[in-house]
Amino acid sequence: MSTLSNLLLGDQPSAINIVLQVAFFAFLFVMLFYGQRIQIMMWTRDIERGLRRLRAFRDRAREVSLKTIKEVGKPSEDITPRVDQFLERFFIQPVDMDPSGIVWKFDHLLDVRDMSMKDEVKRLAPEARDSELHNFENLLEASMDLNFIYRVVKHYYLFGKRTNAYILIAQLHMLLPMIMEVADAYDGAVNAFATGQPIGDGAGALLVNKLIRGLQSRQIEKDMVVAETSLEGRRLFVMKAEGPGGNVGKPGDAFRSLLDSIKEKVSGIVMVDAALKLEGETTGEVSEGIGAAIGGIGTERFKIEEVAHKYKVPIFALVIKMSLRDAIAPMKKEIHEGVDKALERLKRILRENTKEGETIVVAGIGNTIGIGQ
Amino acid sequence: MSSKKQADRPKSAFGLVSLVIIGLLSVWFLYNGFVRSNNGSVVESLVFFVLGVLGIAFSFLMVNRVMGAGIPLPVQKTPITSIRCPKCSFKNIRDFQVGDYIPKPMEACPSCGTQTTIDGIYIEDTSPKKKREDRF
Repeated sequence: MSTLSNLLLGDQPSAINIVLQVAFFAFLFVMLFYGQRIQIMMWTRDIERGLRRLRAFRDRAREVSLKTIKEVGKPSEDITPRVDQFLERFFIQPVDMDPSGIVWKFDHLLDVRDMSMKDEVKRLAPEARDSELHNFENLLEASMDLNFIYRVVKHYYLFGKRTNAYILIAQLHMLLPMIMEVADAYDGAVNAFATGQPIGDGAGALLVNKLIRGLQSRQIEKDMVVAETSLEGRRLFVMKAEGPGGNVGKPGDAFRSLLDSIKEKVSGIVMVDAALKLEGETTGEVSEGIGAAIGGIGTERFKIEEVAHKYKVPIFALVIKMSLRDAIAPMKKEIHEGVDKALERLKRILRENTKEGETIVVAGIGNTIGIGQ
Repeated sequence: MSSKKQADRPKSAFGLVSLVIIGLLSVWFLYNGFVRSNNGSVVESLVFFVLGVLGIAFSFLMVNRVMGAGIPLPVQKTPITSIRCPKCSFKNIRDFQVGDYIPKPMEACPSCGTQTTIDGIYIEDTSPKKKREDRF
């Protein structure tokens, strides 16, 4: 005991006693004056590690894009500079100071963006088929998003470091796990888009595919197809984006055209889509609700709500839950099985909310990559 | 933009030197621990041992980062393609091949002769589920 007290309190000087006391005071001094700097150094290290990972994701996506487009598209010249320019593309959103009419402005700009991207992809891959062109568009979009995330994180990191803005570094460090999750999800999507594998977001399209397999479908609007079938004694008009290329179509326009063209009264609309699950929830779980189940900026949802209101048709939503990563990565078995559960739930919704002989519209929303008609 | 299989980390001279110093100090602490335990100074030898072990552990933890081992990027799994006969219960599962899509028509069913189709393309997650989440 006396040895311990000597060691700690320093009654009798000894080598270890002196070392511990000096170390203790040095620690106090350092933490008092340099504590914050040390903290920032540690945060900076974490951000640098994240940035290296983001750069590796971006490089891998670019490499896969170039390899796939060259292999399938057989361009006559080196497309590397064109692909690099594509990855730097941007989209300027319409002014929202006067929100009246913004949906149509947004819709117009999105159409122009989509058309311009398709044209560019066609120029990059002249030999590719239509479905492959859609896949390449998705692939380049994922690469573009990874490039954007990397550039923005690098910007805030370098700016925070240059100006010694520790608040900026702290905020970036706090947001980093969420940013990395999104980047990780896009990285998972790259291979799926390159090879045309169905992704989790295609759950709605897969359900519709199960309903119309072997039936004749027709194009109703750009990139949207519809087929007629019957289920539980009801007449069903079933629509999805045109596959198997990566495509989400324009369901809003398709709904308007379809409801305008159907002579009899439509008793209900059922929209099936993938939805983000909350942490701790099970992937592939099915939930139902009311309203237009569709993601995106909101233009398509706006159009669907407008047309449903015009014809006074109730809208039912059926969602298959998954994480962001699951939604854009290759489809998991749980989601594939979730589609079968959703199909059973759809039958129940039809039985409980409509009568036999009535007409219903079912829409499978989502990216239809790897899923045909 | 270069092609890399992992997020490489540049080697830091400061990091390497610090690592060597910490390693040498840890060995010195352990040596002192042995010497003092032979002399009968139990507490002192214990303190040196603890410092030595902590230093060695810290060095091992840091060596991967400082030596630039990098962070491996996630490996992407190959999905499986499930082929089914629409009439009988025949089912065939194989690795996904480029060009597969649902419901691509495939070869005739070996049991009943009907044309089979691709029924599903998905990945199976074999990683163990986190049990902690099940408690809530």
